[in-house]
Amino acid sequence: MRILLAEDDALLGDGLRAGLRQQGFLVDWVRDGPCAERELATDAYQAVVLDLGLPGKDGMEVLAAARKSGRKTPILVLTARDDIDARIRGLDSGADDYVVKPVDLFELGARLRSLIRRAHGHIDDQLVVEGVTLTVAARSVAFQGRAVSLSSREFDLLHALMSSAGRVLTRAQLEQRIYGWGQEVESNAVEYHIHNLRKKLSTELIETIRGVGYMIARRSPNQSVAAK
Amino acid sequence: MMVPRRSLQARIVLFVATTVSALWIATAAYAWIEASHELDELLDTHLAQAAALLVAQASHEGEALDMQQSETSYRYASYVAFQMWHEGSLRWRSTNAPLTPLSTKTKGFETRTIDGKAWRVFATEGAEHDVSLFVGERIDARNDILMAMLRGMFTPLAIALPLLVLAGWWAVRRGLSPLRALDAVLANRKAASLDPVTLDAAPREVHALQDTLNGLFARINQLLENERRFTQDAAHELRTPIAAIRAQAQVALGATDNQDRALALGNTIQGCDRAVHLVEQLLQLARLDAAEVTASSGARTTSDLVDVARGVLANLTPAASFKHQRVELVSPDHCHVLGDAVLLSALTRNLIDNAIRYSPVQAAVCVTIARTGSQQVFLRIEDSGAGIATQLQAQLGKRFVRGLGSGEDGSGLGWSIVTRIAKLLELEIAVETSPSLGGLAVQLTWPLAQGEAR
Repeated sequence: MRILLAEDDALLGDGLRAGLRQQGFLVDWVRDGPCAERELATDAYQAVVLDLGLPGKDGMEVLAAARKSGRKTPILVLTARDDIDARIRGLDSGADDYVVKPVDLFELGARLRSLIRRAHGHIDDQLVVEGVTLTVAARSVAFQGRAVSLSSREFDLLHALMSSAGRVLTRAQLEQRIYGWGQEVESNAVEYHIHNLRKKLSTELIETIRGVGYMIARRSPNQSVAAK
Repeated sequence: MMVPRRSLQARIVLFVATTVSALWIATAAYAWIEASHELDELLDTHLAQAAALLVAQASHEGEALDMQQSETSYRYASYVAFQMWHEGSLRWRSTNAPLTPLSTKTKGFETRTIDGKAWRVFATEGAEHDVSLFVGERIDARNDILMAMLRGMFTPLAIALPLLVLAGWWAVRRGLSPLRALDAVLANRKAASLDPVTLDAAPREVHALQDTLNGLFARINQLLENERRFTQDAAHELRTPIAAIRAQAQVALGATDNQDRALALGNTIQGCDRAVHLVEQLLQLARLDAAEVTASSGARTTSDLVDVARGVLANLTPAASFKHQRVELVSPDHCHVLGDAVLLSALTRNLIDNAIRYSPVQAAVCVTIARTGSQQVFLRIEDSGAGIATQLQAQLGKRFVRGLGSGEDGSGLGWSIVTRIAKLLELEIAVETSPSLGGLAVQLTWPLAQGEAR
């Protein structure tokens, strides 16, 4: 899951990035308003952590501009302001969640996963498609009741395809999901990871749509039922 | 709680009544002494004259007068008596006169007691010394006259005093009505209210009291406002550093590799240092807020600016060396300026700290203390950093406004502190691009003070 982190404070930004990375997120970090706005426009992120006190352009303006231009990316506002008015304004301006500093990194991670899940229309932490069960927080995958060990990239790829089950994702879209900034995209990486996934799971699970991309088709009704 | 003393009104009325009575008594005593003296002289003269007349008559009529008693029916008759003796025998006397000589003397005045009554007696003799004449008057008569006079004085007082007290009571009551109005206004306020007190048509005396009260309310209000702002600022501004510390600590806890953990722990400590720095600056600001309200006590003393700057530079040089920056102080040996050393130190430290913090590696920072052409002392801090855009220069001093993309974690409070101290010490601040170093130049100029120490 690729996250955009917009935070101007060096120490906090560094800490959040490192902490979210430990939880398996891909984190790109920008430190001012204009950069945050530019990155948001790329649609490469599943969610955004937005600090309100950004230099150059206030986080609130970035938020309002993104919503005005129709961007639906879940945005979690992270702020030092805890008064009710600020919360209400933030949520009304289109924030999906509002977190007051300081925040527990695991809570932040859980909130982000929840936002991403809901943005894809899911209601719990588990995705179940075609006998494959993917637990997002635990980053674990099981196929027909048997645990399967996946690499981080393979997991992200499978997560992306399962979240968008029934829809085709292009190779570029998949690359965006599995690579953060400064990570060199190897050619054929997506093909390579898909190949591995087919080997570890089942060959029929992921379909190749020639010239377009890949998808996991939904053959039975949505089975994403709470298993806990 | 203090128990209220007797009311002001009762005290004033009592004071007036007592004073008037005392004055009246003093006047009466003086009048008594004067009048009794005058009365004595007058009546003594009358006695002497009466005696002279009687002697003349006695000499003229000779022995024809024989034990006659004179009958009189005037009001004071019983108070006046006379005797005429001729060659040792009493020849003529008034009815109330005794049969023994009235006086022991043969000539002149005498005051003596006869039959338990005090008498004033004048004695004289005929030309041939055969006739002795005594004319006496009872002292009581004199006292009665004096008492009558005093009654005349005290009767008006007895009537006037209650009237005076009444009038005084009314006048004082009217005079004090603005104070009572103030009392009522204050009593009806909410205890926590700090709104100014407004009175309709307050006289001058109460006006001053009202102004003082309102001034006090305003200052307390300001102090409370500062306190509130400090709390808010502190709560707000400490959130980010604390969030950073927490995040870094959590990263250290979750790190799987030692290098990552060491890095995160180092960052945690850095975050703590930064939080401490922020708290110190917030406290400095809070103290300045209070100093502003409780009048500038620090502005009256003088301190050696060079000494202060040297101390501050000594403290900050390690930070500059860490960034391979060159720091220098250009100044005379001493330079005394108006201002408390603590304030000056905070001012200088924040300015130099800003220069070091926001200038890149290997930059130069130059601190100059000198006098302008008009002999005003100035403190100038220049650096070779990126400077500040003109439009941002106007925003300097607003709390928590930081330069964009400085890459440094300033609190944005340093400038607030500088501008507050400058305001307190009445310094002039000028911000420009340094002509020599190319970065930011900040100059603080002291006003020319009378009797300024050299």
